[in-house]
Amino acid sequence: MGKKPKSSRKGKKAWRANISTDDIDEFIEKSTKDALTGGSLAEVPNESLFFVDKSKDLSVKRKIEKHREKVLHCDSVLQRNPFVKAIPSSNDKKKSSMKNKKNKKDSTEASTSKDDATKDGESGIVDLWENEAEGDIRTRKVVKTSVIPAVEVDPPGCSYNPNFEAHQDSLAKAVAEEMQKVYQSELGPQPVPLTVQGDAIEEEEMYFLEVDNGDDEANEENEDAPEKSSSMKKMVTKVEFNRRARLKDRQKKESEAKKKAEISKEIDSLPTIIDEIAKEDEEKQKRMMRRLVAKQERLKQQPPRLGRHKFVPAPTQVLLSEEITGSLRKLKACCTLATDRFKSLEKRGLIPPSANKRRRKYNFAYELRFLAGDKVLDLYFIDDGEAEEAAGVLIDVRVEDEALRKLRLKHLEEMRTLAAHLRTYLRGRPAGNVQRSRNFCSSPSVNRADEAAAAMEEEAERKIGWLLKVIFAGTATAIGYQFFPYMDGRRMKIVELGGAQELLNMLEAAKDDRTRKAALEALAALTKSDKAAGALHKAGAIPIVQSTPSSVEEEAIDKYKTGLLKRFQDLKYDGSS
Amino acid sequence: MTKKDTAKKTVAKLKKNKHYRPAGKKREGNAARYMTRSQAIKQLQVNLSVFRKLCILKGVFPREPKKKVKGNNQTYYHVKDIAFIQHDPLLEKLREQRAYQKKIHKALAKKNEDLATRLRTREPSYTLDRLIRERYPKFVDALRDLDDCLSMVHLFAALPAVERLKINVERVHSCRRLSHEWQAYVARCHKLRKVFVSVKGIYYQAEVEGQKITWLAPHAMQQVLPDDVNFSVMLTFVEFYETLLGFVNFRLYHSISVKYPPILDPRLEALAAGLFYLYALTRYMNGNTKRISEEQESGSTKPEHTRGQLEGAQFEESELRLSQLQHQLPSNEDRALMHLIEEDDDNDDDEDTKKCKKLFKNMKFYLSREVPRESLLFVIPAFGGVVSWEGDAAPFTEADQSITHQIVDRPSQGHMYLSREYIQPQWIYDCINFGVILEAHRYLVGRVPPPHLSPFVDNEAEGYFPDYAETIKRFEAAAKNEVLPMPGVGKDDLDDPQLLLAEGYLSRTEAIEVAERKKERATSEKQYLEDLKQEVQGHPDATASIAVEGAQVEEESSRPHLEQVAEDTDGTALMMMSRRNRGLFKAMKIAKDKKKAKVEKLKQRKKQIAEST
Repeated sequence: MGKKPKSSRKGKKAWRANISTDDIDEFIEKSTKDALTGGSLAEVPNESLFFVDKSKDLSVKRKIEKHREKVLHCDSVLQRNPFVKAIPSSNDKKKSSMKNKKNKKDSTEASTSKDDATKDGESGIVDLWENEAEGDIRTRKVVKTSVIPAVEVDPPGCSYNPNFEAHQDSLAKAVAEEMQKVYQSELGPQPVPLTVQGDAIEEEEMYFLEVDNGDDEANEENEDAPEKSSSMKKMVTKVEFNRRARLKDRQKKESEAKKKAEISKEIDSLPTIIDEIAKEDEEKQKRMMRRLVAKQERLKQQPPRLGRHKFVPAPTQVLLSEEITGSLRKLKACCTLATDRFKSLEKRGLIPPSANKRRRKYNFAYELRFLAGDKVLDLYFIDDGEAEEAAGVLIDVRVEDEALRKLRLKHLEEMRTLAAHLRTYLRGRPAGNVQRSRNFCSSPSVNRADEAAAAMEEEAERKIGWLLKVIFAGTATAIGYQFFPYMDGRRMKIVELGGAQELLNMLEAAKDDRTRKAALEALAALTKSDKAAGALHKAGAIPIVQSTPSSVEEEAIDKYKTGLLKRFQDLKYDGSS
Repeated sequence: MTKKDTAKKTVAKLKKNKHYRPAGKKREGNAARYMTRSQAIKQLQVNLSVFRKLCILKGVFPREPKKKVKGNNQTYYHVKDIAFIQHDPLLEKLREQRAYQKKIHKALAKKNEDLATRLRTREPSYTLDRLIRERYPKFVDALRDLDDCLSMVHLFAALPAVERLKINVERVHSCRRLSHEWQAYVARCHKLRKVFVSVKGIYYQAEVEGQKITWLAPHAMQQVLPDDVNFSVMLTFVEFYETLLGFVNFRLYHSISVKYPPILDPRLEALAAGLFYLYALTRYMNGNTKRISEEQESGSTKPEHTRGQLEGAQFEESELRLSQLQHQLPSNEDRALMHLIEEDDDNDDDEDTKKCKKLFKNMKFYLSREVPRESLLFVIPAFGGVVSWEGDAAPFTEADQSITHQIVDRPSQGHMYLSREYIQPQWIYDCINFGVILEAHRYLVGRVPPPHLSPFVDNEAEGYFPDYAETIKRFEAAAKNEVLPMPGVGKDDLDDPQLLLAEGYLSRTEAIEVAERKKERATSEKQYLEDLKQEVQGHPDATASIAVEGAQVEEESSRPHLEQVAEDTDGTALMMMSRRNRGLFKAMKIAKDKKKAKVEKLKQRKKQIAEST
């Protein structure tokens, strides 16, 4: 088919074709339609279009009424007997009656309360337990969540002016707690370092490295595989097959015979087996009892695990020896009772323990406030000169005491950062002040912090006798000793400090098995280091250990004992020498 | 059995087990009994903060199921607990409140301040009366649970109002008021028993209606608001506790026929917001009770009145009296105060209360500026003393000649009156704890006072007496003119038949042995008595220790063979006991041994210290 010749678009015909006449067509169509139906609806008023239907739909109404009139069979049966009152099956009546009652009650209550209010003044408080004897209260049995009392009274050592011995006890406990934390942070697994030393590998090389590795493995596998398959595929002759079958038979018979013999043997030794079972049972029972008791004990100290986080007890609030002045006025008391109450709530299991929140933003002013304790120095509102002065006062007066307190509370690091902050804070001042601020800030404060650290160590060393006892014989044992295998130096330190002698004395003087066990455990942990073992030998450990009576209840004692003696033998220390 | 039969059986089984669930999806045991917190929140259709609030108010706390079905780091609640919350009208109330808050937010967002303020005036609120009634069906229950409540209220009374943490001023003030009202009651009825000043704060113990109530009040210094405390939780607790303490105070005040909430002397009312609320309260209470007792007297003289008439008359009369009293008091308040406190109505008081009431009788204290005033203003009247202070509205000044004790806490006192003793505040606390008036010379100004011992440690049970406790005990005995049992022996369980019964091996041999021991003790006691006499006559300090030591030595020498005998009898008795009892017995023994070892250790340590110094 040939193409139609293209006509010109500029002609008259083309123009006509391109003009749309839709709107004209539509109008004509509409007007003719209106004319035929009798006028457009848009112009007609509403009244002529709609009407209210006032007629009654009889069928529907009848249906509803019929439904209402319907009496249930059970009701109708009861209705026949005039002496029996029907209990309404549906509860809408009940509801309405309840509503009535409620209204009445409310009104009476309101009136009574009004009376009371008039009686007791304007407060509107009434005696809640006025008619407690009537016993009409709907109550629920309240489950006691924990055995821990709501207000735990501090031990006598935490008094503001304590008795010497009690104070030493409490202090030792506090030091032990802190040391335990230190050990845990020191000896725990190290965090993965963020950067690793070494040269950076170029990207291309890295690519090659990976490829090489992959290739090697693949090759090895390929080499191994064909050998195996070839051996597997070796043909088996009939003779060989029979031989194997016979061998298998024989083996089976032999094993059966063996089994029989074993069974007969076991039957012979039945009494011993029964004994063993009994023993095992007893042991199990014992273990169960021990666990039960341990759990009860734990519940007295700590709540059950109630959420994601573990309960962390608040540090013991006890004065350092230097802080005891005997004067109530000079008492440096704890000013965070809110923490104490919150911890108590957690401890009693009333709320799940929350995460130990770290302070996210370092608030300098807050820190200064905290340091100042009862003498609140607010740095928000004072100008630079005053701030500097305040900081100077703080450093001069408070840092020393506060450092000691803070050390106890494991805040040495915070102290250092604070000193650093103070330095930077004051260095950031206009140039005129720098000289002065350096005088009292940079060196003295840091020195003070160091001094404080030294003082703390001294104190710890002074208390080391009690500390050792607390750590070794007390609750810290379990945690302390899990770490000890890694620490030769620490062991030696303990020996040097007289810990070994102390332990041996303890072992000798111990009267109950638990102490003995703890001491032996500690010794066993110490002897893992050769040097420490030597020192122990010199201190005359062997005869003491040998003379330790073995116990029925604590099998561990025997274990440790033999372990220790063996260790000494290994190191060629004779029992006789 | 045919195939049909088995089929029928399985069908029957299925039908019988109505809620059949396929294996692995069974909801029973711990899985059905406990739900996690997020499940609970979903069920209650509230957000977490509202859920927390509901739990605290209703007294629903997380539990630890034996088997944690949803994992170890979830918080679990009992299904029934959650249902219990769900049926409480409070839940609906809180939802309503939340919806209302949304309305206000919306108005604010549309900058429609008028509507917002109008809405705020009609915010729905709730009361906790019903919950308190529900949680503490009896008054005793409420008293038993008052420890935490009091500590919390006392703490919040000392906190600074911080907007950021939503601790508002009204809350702090109401806590302050409630705590003072409680203290006023305790002081008025002389219910306070023990006080212990520790680093953390001051522990008080009161005995109200037979219940020992211990609470911890902070020291009077700036409290820090630490970051690791969730204050919204604390505030919810405080909200509940405030209501509880209000009702408890109401009941207690009415039990001593005082109006609650108290109406105070208008002059003191102005000061009442501050420190002197407590003082104002005590005065108010004293005045009120006096009035009522007078009325009772007048009632008894006129028996012909009928009850109704009497009450009507009394009401008017009391109004009159009250106005008279109020006029009368400020003019000669010292005498009036003394009179009020002296006036006795100890018909229904127990022995302890009587003792407490008389401890500081006829003593007049004056507090210097630097002593903890709040604590002492509470403690001294609780033991029958009269107290004044340096500052505004003080009932009498420092120059008053009748003051017997001035409490100071400074290195030296400038001007001293000879008629009074200048003592440190610890004297008050120690006197209270030991129940006697101690010698003041140890507590004089500028001296380091003797150690402040904890009254919460039962020395007899522990078996170890600190030095100072022992000296005080001796002093006490001397004051009472009686001879104590020897130190070291203590009140042994010889005289206590109940204890022996509990031990469960009271056999014939045992009885004989007990008799023997008693005899021995009697002889040693006689010697001790003689020693004491000597001590009283001659040099008190030197001989005392010798005598005690001698007695102890003798004691120890008499012990071993007795112990042997006891052990023998133990063996036979052990055989007779049931396994359970044997275990108990062993546990008891272990505990005793431990205690003994501890005491021995303490003694040894003391010896060591003595040697080293």
